[in-house]
Amino acid sequence: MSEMADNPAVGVTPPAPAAGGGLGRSISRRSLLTTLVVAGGGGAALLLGRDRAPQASPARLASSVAPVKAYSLAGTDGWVSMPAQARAMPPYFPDPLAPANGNSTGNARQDRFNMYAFGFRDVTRYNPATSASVSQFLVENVKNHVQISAPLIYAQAGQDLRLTLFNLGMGNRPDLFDSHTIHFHGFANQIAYFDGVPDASLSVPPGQALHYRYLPVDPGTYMYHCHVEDVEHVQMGMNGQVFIAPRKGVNYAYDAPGGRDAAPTDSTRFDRQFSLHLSELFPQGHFGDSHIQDTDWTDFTGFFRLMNGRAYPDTVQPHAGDYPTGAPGDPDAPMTGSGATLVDEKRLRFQPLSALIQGESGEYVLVRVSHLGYEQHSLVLPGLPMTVIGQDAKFLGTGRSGYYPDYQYANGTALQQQREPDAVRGDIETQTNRVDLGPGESRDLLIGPLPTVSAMTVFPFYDREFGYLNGSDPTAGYGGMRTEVHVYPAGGLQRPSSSEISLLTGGADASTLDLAGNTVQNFAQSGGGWTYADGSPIVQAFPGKIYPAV
Amino acid sequence: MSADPTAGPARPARTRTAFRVLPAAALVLAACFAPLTFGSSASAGPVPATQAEGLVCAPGSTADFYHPPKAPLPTNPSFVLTAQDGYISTPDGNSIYMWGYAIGGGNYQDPGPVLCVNEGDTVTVTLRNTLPVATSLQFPGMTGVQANGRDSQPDGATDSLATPAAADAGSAPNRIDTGGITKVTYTFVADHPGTFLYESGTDPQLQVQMGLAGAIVVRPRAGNPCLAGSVSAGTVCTPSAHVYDDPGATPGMATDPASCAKVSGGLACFSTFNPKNEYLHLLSEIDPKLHEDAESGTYSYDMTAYQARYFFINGRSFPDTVSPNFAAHVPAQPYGALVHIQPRNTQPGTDYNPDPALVRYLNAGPVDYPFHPHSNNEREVGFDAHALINPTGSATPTDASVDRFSIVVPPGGTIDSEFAWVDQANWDPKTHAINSGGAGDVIVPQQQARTEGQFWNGTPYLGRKADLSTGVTQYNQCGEMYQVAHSHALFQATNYGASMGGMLTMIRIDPPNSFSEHAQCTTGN
Repeated sequence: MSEMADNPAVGVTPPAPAAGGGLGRSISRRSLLTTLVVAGGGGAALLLGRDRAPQASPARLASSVAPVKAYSLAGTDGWVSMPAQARAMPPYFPDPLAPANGNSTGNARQDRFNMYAFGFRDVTRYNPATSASVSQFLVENVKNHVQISAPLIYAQAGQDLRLTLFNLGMGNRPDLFDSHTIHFHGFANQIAYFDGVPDASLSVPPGQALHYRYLPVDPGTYMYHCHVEDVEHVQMGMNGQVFIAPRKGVNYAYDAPGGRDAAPTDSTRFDRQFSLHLSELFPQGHFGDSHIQDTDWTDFTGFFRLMNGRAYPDTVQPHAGDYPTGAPGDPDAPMTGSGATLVDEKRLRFQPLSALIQGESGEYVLVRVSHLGYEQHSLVLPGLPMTVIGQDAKFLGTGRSGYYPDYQYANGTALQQQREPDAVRGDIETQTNRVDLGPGESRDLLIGPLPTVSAMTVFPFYDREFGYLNGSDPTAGYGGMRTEVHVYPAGGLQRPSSSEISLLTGGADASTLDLAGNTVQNFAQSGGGWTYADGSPIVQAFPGKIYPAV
Repeated sequence: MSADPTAGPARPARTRTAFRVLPAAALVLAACFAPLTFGSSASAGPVPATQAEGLVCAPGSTADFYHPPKAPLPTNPSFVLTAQDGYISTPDGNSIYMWGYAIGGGNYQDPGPVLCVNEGDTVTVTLRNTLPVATSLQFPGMTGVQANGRDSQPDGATDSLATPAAADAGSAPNRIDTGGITKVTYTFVADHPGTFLYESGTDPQLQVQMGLAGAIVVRPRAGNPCLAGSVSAGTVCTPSAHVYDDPGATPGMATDPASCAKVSGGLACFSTFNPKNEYLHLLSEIDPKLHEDAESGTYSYDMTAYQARYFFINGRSFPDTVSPNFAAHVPAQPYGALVHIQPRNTQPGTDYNPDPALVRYLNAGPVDYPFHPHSNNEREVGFDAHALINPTGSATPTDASVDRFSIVVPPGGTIDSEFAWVDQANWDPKTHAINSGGAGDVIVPQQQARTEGQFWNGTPYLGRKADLSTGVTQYNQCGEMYQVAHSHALFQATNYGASMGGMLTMIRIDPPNSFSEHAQCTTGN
């Protein structure tokens, strides 16, 4: 660490931290700043954050600028589809005001949307901050074309996450002048201004924009939603998942001890990751909003139960095409299917996120589950072992950190270690085949190693309340919280293309800052190809990405 | 126990609130209360209205931080709970008929009084029934409960899970009978620390829903100077500032984290908290139709038709939840739920504030409440009056506390949860502005381009204050931040369906002492 010499802030040798000192003990905060840098082979640097017991080592203060991960979101209304075969619930579902979806099968249930929604769209690709004509484009093409669930957002601890929220107003309800916000649900030690509670800060009225900025420290699975008139706006669809990858590497779930060779339940390393954002849909409320009727929200019942904004069997349909960044699920991406596939693509255009999970024998799959419905759910995955490694964006395994953050920003952006770091706490991971969670909770499930199979094998993953699932029986529930895990033989899935890999390694996920302010690369080149920084192969280029069989 | 329940007539509480006080006024009320410092007040007496915030222990408590007894420490606390009826008000202007517990001959209140006792105390609770139906008391989590000197037992005739007190002979609420059949004396030993619910054991689907529930706080021996060994008479028996018997905890243990052996993994400060930041969140809900039936004398209800419409923390719905304790506009709902803290700071000096706040959650309702505190994850240290230490009997116990952003409180469950807010990003207009570091577009919108919240300080920064638009009332006092805490089954965060109500309160974060605006802050307790 020769660059230390250039930094006068670390010109003194820090005293070793000692437990049990008295109140008046004079001890430099910086002396406790531990960099936790572990040099890896091939230029890879593993950065271990707050879930690792601090170790005394020389300190180096922030010198680099945090890489920016920026999203632009638009809040508006629109129309979506519950399953075409779902039982009718007159007059609420299908909504008779719903417009055509571009299909012409002759079957109205295939040819029209059927449910009114509010929500967010990812409009980053239109770069709306710079052009008045783009604003006009948004009003003409995104307003009244919302999606549910909200776009998946993610960044890495050490990055600078910025969200710009545009309020495009309601195409179907020009009488509404509702403001919107983004509440980053669970973001630890948030300030009120960036917390999105309209009463405690500010919200953005139609035609305006508001900027949010986060310096994420704690990796894990979170969610976001509008907090204006929350019982209505959240239920109407303004909710989605956001996750923070650890500094240690984007193929890990947490800054837990251990690298590529450690047990994945300890290190939290995974081969592929998928997001399941749960919610429910109360058709009476959606009908009321489209028909200018008031709703008593204490009547709430979640008749449709959704994963990533879709009800089974739509959950296992593929994502919409990719954003220009390479991430899947862009409603404006070209449709590539034909026949029945194209019918579904058009029907589900504004529910662009699949809930399908896939992997190969021997792999570890991380499933990030978040929930912004209003009811409890118990999800069962028979046949595959899973470990609950995280809960509410906190690592649960061996070496998990104490409650208090190890460090905070002070005097600008320099990081300071707290005076008395917490002791690590006990391992409370659980192994199970079922996970239950209620409103506002999250879990990180590590599934693996996936079993050896000789052909693609399907493992259903579903809400245990069977009364709300509907398969082929139209008299059962309205449409359920059910998806599938598809396990392929080793090597049975196509690998990311070279263009995908270059989008990934050259994109906003490429680097972050470690605790000492050094830039860390998340990907490494080896033998002409790219790997993760720890040398692990990249078998999935973007979170949730689904690949065809070989 | 100083209050004599037979002295003086019971006062009817059929007071319909005729006016509403807005939160602004409530905050002004809070500002009028003089800050209270802990001291060696003489003995347990009536709770003065000066405890504007935080958990209020009932008169007669042996473990009240605000009224600590002196040695010799009484170990036989005795309380009289008078079951009677009254009315509460909801923020939408409704007034709802309730049953509840008054302390001794006091006024009807919702929820019941909080009984604060020490581990090992032999607790006597005398239930006096003035209701037109039989009733009884259940103490879930307590063992060996005696009723009138015998084991408390179910009673089929009255559909009771515990020995009941008969209906008031005159079937007229709020009259104390002299025959004694409407009285039961329960005793139990509070043999382990934690948070406990007490509630009606008779016709409970109706009576608990009607409001017959309250909280018991049992404070541990560890950390109480009068329970650690012999002390001279007159020593102030300051209750333990731990939730549980943390191994190695000693009376008066410095709250400095450096003294807690945290680095070596010791658990001596596993459950310490700042006694000035101890809060009660007793969660419940009601179906007003059931209460209308009871008000008109029908004491049964088709529970298959049950539909909750109002949701409460400590018997209040937002915005009443953020009004001070004993707020005048909710005379029968004395307990506020505003959590009021400052940023955590472990650096000795003006802003030193190392200890977490403690929230004791209880669920007196029939469904899970997924309670979501904004600001920071909370650390659950106890569940149903048992510390989350694993395994508790081991020579090397480990800390099994869990950090949650959703505190899921199950029906009848209690959770002890600690939290602090750390100014982690340290946003500051001079040293770390929100548009610094190349974030030039992260700017505060002009007034005409934003919708302003009345609790907002007008800036992104803690301890700074700017005007809101003309015509917008600003409740903010000193640049403090407000963070909401609420049920995330969002229909429970409504008043009969209207958003931003119900089971919702606020966490108020004041600027550190060294900030100039801090002088303008109500310090609460």
